[in-house]
Formats: sequence, C-alpha cells, structure tokens
Amino acid sequence: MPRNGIFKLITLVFVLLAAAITVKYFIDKSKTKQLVQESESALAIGRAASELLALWRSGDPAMMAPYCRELFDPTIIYSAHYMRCNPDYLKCLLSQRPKFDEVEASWLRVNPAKSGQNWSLSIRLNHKKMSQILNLEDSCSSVELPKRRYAFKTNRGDVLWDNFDRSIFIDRSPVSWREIEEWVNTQNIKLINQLPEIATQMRHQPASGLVQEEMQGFCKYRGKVVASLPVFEAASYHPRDVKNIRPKRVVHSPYPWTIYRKNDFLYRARNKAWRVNREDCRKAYVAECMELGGPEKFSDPVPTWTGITDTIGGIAEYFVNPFEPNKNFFFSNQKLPAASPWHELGRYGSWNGAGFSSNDFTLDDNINLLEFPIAVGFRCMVEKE
Amino acid sequence: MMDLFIALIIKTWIFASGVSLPALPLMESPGAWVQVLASDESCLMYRATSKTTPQAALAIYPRRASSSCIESISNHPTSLLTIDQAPKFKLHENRLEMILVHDGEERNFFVPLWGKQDNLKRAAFISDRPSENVKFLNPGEECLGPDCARCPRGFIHVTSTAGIKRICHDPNQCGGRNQPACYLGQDWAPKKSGCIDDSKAGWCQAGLAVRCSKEIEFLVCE
Repeated sequence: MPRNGIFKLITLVFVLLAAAITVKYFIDKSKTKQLVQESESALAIGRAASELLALWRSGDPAMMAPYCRELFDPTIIYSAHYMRCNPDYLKCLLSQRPKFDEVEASWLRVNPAKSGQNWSLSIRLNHKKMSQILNLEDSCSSVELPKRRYAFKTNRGDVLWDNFDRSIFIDRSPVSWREIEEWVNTQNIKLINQLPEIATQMRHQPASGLVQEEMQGFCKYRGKVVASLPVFEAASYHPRDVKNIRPKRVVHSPYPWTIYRKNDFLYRARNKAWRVNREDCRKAYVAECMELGGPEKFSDPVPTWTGITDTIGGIAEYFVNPFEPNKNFFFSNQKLPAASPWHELGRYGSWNGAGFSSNDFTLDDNINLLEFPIAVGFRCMVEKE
Repeated sequence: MMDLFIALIIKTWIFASGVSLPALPLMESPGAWVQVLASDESCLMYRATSKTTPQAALAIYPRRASSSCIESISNHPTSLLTIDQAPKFKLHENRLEMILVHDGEERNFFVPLWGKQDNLKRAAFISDRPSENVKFLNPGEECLGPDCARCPRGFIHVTSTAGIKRICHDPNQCGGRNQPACYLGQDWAPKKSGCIDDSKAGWCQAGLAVRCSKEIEFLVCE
C-alpha cells in the first residue's frame, strides 16, 4: 500500500476513534444528566407524597371550605375524624390544588382490600417524565382496643376475656353513607334496598338499610369484619381504673362516661330531672336533641374512653355476637327519648338481618317502646398482626 | 462520579419494594462484598479494603428474583464507586441517611423509602406497578406473622396441643357447633397444652361443650 494510503487510513481510524469517544462522552453525559434528573424527579415526588400523606392523615378542614359543595355542606362543621383518611377530602383538595411544587397530583381510584393488600386511595403523581402512584391506606378510621381484661355478660354468667396477645381495631363510628356510596359505586354493588339519594349534608351520617350480608360485604371491602358485641362493649364501658389492666372483677356501669349510673343524664331523665342541652346530646343524641338541631349538626360527639363515638343514641347498631348469637342488636337510637331503658349498654335484642319491621326483631320486653321500622347501622373491626 | 452514584442509589431505592435495611453497625469483611441495602431487584454491596483490594468500594448489583445479594455479585455491577472509608447510615422514620466519602469529598444525602415494605409502618407507599395478586392461604391453614394478612376472611386464635396458634378463619365464627372454641386470651390459656376437654381457655355457646379435637388438635365446640 502506498504511504499516502496508510496515512489516510490512520487518519480515518483516528477520526473515527475521536468521533466514537466524542459520541460516547455525549451519550454518557446525556445518560448522567437523565439519571440525575430522574433522581430529582423521584425526590420531588417523594416530597409531594409526604405532604399529601400529612394532609390525608390530618384532614385539615382549613384546606376545604367553601369548595366542593357536592361533597361537603358549608353549613356543617365536620369533625376532624370525618375528614381524616377520607377520599372525598383529597378529591376536593386536588380539585383546588392540583400541584404540589412542581408535582402534578391527580385522583386515580380507591382500591378494595384483598389478600395482602389494605384498602387504599391511589393518587397519580407526575413530575417531568416520571409518573408514580401514591397509595394511601386507612390509618385513621379505627381505634385499637387497649390491651386488658374485659368481661361480657351472658345468661350463663360473665365471660372473662383479654386481648393481651391480640391487636383488635374497631371503627370509631358507624359506617357512613359516604362510605357505602363509595363501595356501591366502585364495586358495582346492587343493594337489596336501593341506595337512596343522599343529600350532601347527610353524607357523613351513619348509613342504614343494609341487610347483614351486605354489611359483611362492606366490611370485607375494607379488609375487616362486622364488629362484635364483646369488642364494642369493651370499647364502650367505662374501665373504672384505666391503669389496672388486670382487675380481679370487671364491673360495668351502663353509660360510657361515668361509673355512677344514677349520675348520668340518661338515668336522671327517667325522673324528669333532665332538660335537653347540647353537652348531653354530644354524648348521646336522643329524641329530645332534635329541639337543638338535626343529628347531622352534632359532629363533635363525646367519645368513650377508647375514642369510639355514637355508642348511645344516634343509630341503632347490629353486631356479631359469638358468645350469644341471639343477642346481636343494640336498639338505642335517636328516636328514643332519653328516659328509654334501651339506652343502656348490656341491653340487647335480636335482629334477623333481613328486614326492619317489628317482625324482624326479637326482644325479651319493652317492644312497645320501640318505633318501627328501625334504621340499622353497623361498624367494622379488624384484628391485625 | 459521586453525583452519578448517589443519583443511582436514590433512583434505585426510593420506590423499591421489599427493601432490607442495613444491619448496623455495618459488618466489615476485608476484601469481600457484604450486603448493605437490598430490594427485590437490586443490592447495594460494600467491600472493605484488604491486601489485594487497597480501596474500599460500594457497588450496585442487579438482583435476580429469589436469589440472594451474595449470588448477585456474579453479575456485572450497574455502578461502582471507590470510597475512602466505610459508609455511614442512619434511619429516621422511613428516611435512610447516608454519608459517603470519595476522593476526600464527603457527601451526606438521604433516600426516602416510599416503596411497599412489610417492616415500615407508614400506611402509604408508592408504586407505578399494579399490585401483585398475592395468593390467599387456605381456610383453616395456620398462619404466622404478616402472612395472616393473606387469610381470605381474617384469622382466629385457637388453643391447640402445641400452644396458641392462629388459623385462617372468620374471627366472628367461633363458639358455635363444630366451630373453634372462642379464644379468651392469654390470661385464661394454660401455660402448657390448653387442648384439653372442658378447658377454661375456650368458650362455647350454651348447650355445647369445649372439646379437644383429635383430628385438628385444637379446642372446638361440640
């Protein structure tokens, strides 16, 4: 090969090599830049997720009013608990604030509980070219039953039990219309009694009209089971001495707020020594409370020692009772006057789980004091690892 | 180089699922790779100095499904960074803080762990993939720890010949005929085997007796 040719070949090899190095340099640089951008996007999404999680858990109502009138009624002061872990809250929030710094947040879906996965709300988070899904689980709607000894009264005497080696969580309040509407709409559920049109101001109120199987279906959707009467009682009865977790005797007073039965307004009302007032109606919304406003306006109920609300008055509740299956219904409800003996914990009847007329309920006495049909509510519970 | 490596750590672990956190203090084995951080898909490995490897290093290795991180070092690392000293770690509420020193320059950064983890109780996670269908356990099957979340209708405590155990069973379905006896709690469970006829550790509805089933070896109602 002539010298000129070799020179040209060497030059060509050098040029190609230089070009390859240059291309590799720019590709590496571009990859580095892309990687750094991706990690920045990931961190930005993480920051937005932290903020959304904090809002999901706190349910800060200041973020809401006066927006989303189809979801929230501006005349109602909602309890903080209602706003927490509530998909409606985030739906409204995101409609007003779709960006968290540079991250776009949009509502995606609610996910039912299934094997190994809790019920959750999915939010899509986008930052530049990165897209991720934030799944927010429910860490707000239930309270853990304190670990201690409890007793449940049966016809065969008290059943003593404890939950020292169990973590039992019970819903703070009965299942609301909002929750039932979410379940029906997202899971395409056909209820036996068609879901009524729910006014905005009633969405936070306890749902009724479901039969037993539907109640079980809803609780399963949330990864739970229908609450049992022994657990509801345990979360409701005043514990007397909270620090003594292994009392030798478990003594009950029928009202959650006092250990002295005769001091409670529900007992005093039997002797006409009680006048309706807001404080008492916050404990138990009974018939006389209607003078002060509808139940939807009483959104700051006084909780029991464990934090559950709407135990007495309000809506009558169905519970599963493994100890005595025929005692599964707590009749206490908002249509009964304060003097009604049905407002006492420990007084139960039986519901057949199918209908709401007098034929569907069985009780030992006082049936004439009840008004039918009865609106039946329920709450769920779950045992966790 | 360090920026790139840090960016890769963040990108790899921020949304990763199944993250195993470093066991502190970090174990050092001169010249050998030890696991620092793992996820279902990647491993961060650390190699301390030795006579043959005078510089310590951190490397990210791709991880094959169901293989250990040690097995993954036969793969080519995604990225490798020589470091001047052992990395330092701190974990604060789902944020892993790391300190790396490379060529005399110290960098402090954190990785928020947003992927789905079993051991972190945040009740929120980030994943761009649809959740996997985890297989349900069979009704009546014994479950342990977080596996009990795979029971189709919840789980129940039973008093068995081998002590207290949990089985997949509707927690409200106890105390009835041929059902498990309702578990009354640890204060009522005998120290040794509680699976004895008429045991006080279980409760059955009126007309039924507490029996230790010879077939299933726990307290039932008959």
